[in-house]
Amino acid sequence: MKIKSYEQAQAELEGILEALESNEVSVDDLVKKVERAAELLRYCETKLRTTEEKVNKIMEDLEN
Amino acid sequence: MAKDSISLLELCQRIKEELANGFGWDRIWIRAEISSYNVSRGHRYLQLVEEEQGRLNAKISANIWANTFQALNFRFRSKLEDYLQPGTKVLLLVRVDYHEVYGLKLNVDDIDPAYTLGEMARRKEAVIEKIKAKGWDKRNKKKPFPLVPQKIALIASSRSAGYADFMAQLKENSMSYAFEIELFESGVQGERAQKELVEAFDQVDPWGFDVLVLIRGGGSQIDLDVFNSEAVCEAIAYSGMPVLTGLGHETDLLLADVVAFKSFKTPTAVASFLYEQLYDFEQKIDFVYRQILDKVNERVGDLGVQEKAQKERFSRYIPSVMTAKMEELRTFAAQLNQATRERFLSESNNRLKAIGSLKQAKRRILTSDRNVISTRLKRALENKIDKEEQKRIHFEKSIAYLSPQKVLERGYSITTFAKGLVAKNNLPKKGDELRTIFAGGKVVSIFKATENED
Repeated sequence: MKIKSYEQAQAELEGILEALESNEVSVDDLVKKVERAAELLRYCETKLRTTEEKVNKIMEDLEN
Repeated sequence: MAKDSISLLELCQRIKEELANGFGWDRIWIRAEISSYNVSRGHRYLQLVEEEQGRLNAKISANIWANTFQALNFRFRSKLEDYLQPGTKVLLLVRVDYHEVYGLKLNVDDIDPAYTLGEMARRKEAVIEKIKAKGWDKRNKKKPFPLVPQKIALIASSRSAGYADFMAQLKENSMSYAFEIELFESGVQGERAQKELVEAFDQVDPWGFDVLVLIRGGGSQIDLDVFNSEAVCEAIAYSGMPVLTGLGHETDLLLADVVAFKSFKTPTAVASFLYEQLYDFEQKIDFVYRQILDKVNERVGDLGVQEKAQKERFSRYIPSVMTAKMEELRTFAAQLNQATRERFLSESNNRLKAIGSLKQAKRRILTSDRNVISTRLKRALENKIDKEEQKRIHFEKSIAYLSPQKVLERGYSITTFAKGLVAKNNLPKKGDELRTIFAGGKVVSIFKATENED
C-alpha cells in the first residue's frame, strides 16, 4: 500500500503498535506487520533525508 | 539698451544679498523627510521633502560636506549613514545657501537623532494600536504548524550574513535532513525594503510550502524600523502559512515578531528550531517502531512457552523438526535482529557524537570564560551529558535483549511440522514428522498422540 505522508505513516505505525498491544495479530500476521512497520519507518527516514523530487522518484522505482 | 534692466548675474547677486541679510539668522533647525540620499567623493547629497497624505508640499536639496559628515559621524558612533536613509524623518540644523550658478541649497551643520527616534516611536505606537484593533497578533498564531516543516519559503537578502548563517545551519545538519528552501529575494533595509518585503510575501505560493521564514542579519534600530511598519505586519498576519522570524536584534520588541507565528533572536535560531522539529518527529516514530519490535519479540517468546509445555508432555517421543515455516520465522528473527542492531548502532553513534560535541562545548565554555559561567549552567550541561550517556547504554543493552538467540536461551523451543507450528488448532497426525529447535540444536521426531489437557 502506498504511503502518502508523514501523518499517515505515523498513524499507521501507532495503529500497528495498538493492534499488537491488544493481541489482535495472529502469528502469521506478525511478520507482515513488522515488515510494514519497517517500511513505514524507512519511508519517513528516506523522506526526511531527500527532497520531494527525489522521494517521488524513489517511490516510483519501488513500485515498478 | 531696452528699458531699465539688470543682467541675470546682477539679479542672482541681489537674491544672494537679500537671502544673506533678510532672515536675521544664519542657521535654523528644520523638520523634514529624506526622500533620496547619495554619496559622492565623501559629500552627502540629500533631497528633503515635506508631504501630507501623499501630496508633496515642499522640496529642496541639501548637502552635508565631507568634513561635516565625518565630524557628525564620529558623534553618531559611525551610524550616521543609517539615519540618512530615504523615508526617515529628520531634524537638521541648516544654513540657506544660494549660488549664482547652482541655485538654492541647504548646507547641513548638525543632526538631532532624538527627533528621528521619537518619530519612529510615535509611528510604532500607531501600528501597535492597529494590530490590537484588527487582531493581527493572533491571526498567524492560529495557523496549524506542520508535523514536519521541510519545505521552506525564505524571505531574505541573499547578500546578508543572516542568510548565510541560516543556510549553513540547515544544509550542514548532523542528521543529514534535507530541507527544500526557496528564496524570495528582498532587501531588508533602506527605502525599498518595505515594498520589496510585501511583494515577496505576495509571491509565496500558500500551498507550496510548510512554513515561511523571514530573516535578516541584525543592525541598528533605524535599520530595523521596516519591521515595525504596518504593511509588513499586515503581510505576516495574512500569510497563508505559519511565519517564523529571525531578525537578529537584541533591543526592544519588533512588531513583525509580535504578529509572527513564532519569533527567534537570530536566523540561526530559526534554523535550529526547524531542525529540532524533524529530529523530534524521527525520535517519535522511532520509539513507536522500537515498541513494535519489543511486542513482536514478546509474542515470539510466548510461542516458545507453549512449545516447551508440549515438549515436556511428549517427552522423549518428540524430537525436533525444521519446517519451511520455522525457517521463515528464523530468517525473520535474524532480519529483525539485524535491522534492530543497525538502528541501534546508528542511534548509539548519533548519541556518542552528541555527547562528544556537548563535552567539547562544555570544555570550550569552561576554558574560555570560567568566571562567567554560573554553576547552574555547568550542572545542566553535566546532567545533559549523563542523560545522553545513560540513554546510549540503555540502547546497547536493548540490542542484546532483542536477539532471538537470547529468546531460545531462555529455555524456549519451537516445534513445527508440515502444516506449520504445532498449536491447539493445528495438531499433527500420527506418524507425522516433527521438528523442534532449541538453544543447543534441533531434533526430529515422529508424532504419536496428543494428551488431554487434564
